[in-house]
Amino acid sequence: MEPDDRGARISAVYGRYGNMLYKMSYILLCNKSDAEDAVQETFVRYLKNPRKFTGAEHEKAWFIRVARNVCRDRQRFRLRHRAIPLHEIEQYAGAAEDAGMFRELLSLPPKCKTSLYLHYYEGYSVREIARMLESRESTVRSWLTRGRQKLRLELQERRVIHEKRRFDAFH
Amino acid sequence: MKKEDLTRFINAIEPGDELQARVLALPRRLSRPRLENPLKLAAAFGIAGLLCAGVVAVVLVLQNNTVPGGGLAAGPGAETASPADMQPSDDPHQTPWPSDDPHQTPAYTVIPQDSKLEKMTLPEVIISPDQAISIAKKAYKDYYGLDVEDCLVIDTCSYSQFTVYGTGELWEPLWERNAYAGKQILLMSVSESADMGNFMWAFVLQDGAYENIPAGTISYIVLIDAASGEVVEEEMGSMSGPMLTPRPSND
Repeated sequence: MEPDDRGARISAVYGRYGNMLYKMSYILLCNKSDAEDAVQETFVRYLKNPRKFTGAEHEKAWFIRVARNVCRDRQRFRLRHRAIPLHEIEQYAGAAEDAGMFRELLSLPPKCKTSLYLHYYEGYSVREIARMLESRESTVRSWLTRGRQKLRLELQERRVIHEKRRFDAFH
Repeated sequence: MKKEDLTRFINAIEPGDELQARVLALPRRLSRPRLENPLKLAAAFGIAGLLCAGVVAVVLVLQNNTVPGGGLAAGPGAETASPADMQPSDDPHQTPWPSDDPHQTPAYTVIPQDSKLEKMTLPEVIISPDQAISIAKKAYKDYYGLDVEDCLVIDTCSYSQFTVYGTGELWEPLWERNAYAGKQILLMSVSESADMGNFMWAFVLQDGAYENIPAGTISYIVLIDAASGEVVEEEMGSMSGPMLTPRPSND
């Protein structure tokens, strides 16, 4: 790939996935600097080993998987458990009372966080997550269950559907 | 926590403009001509280049010419033996290593016996930890013209805790006591490269002080192919991002 081509391509790809990769990396690594490094490293790998994708979803899944692996390796490299920077939590959490919940989210085990992010934010199914992360579906489900339990995550979408049915039944 | 809270938190996580600038500059940085050197110069791999699953053991030969764990040793200025010349150590802390015959691929434990790590058998890894340490030490000397001194090798392959290579002593209590202030530490690991499919030893040499390494602290990073012993990448990096400074001149 010629340098000019690569420049145009990386710009387009970053536009598509840069924010997503940063969000996921930040959730996994819990600090801005590491997340930025992880995103950069992901794109380095993309440039150094260009490959053909069968479609947009294939490309996206590749980036997610590589970023996840990059983050995992960085976590191994840490000399000790890194404290989650308070000022960053408050920046992202907004209201002070949210900081505690946000910290809970960031404190989850990496596999739980990754699964929660991919399922509830990116909208991937359990099957798609399992394929992406090269795990079994039952394993992904257990990560999701554990993550929900730890966060006491209310499955608001189920409650909304249930209430809508009740509403429809009365009207 | 409501699902809306989860979404709201994640929505708020946004990268700054500087990240985009760094990524968009990658094609130009990666296309820089390589320096003429037998060892390949790392290009645009930051600390995350240690993605190869861990940090590679940095061979720091102590002044008394011993290597932690009783493994292979080389004094200052000594020629580093090629992997084929190296023999397994008799040290009881040292994991017995297979012969140097590259065609012989028995299953063996990669991680030292005293490591608090989940044992792995990786027949693809031919180069032993001590061999990799020696190679890394030589690479560092070639890069900087300096011997590594007063260093402790830390086995970082564990998911839960790091140990001192050779003794199995837990690293963190030592570090928290600031036992290695003023000295350097060598972080070591081995794993499969996430997308290249080969195994690599990874080493990082950095300051051993207790406090979080300040952003911009310089460290030396080297990746060694675990099958051939070839130095694949090396770079002078920083803890908060890569610094693609040119290799120091030997003039």
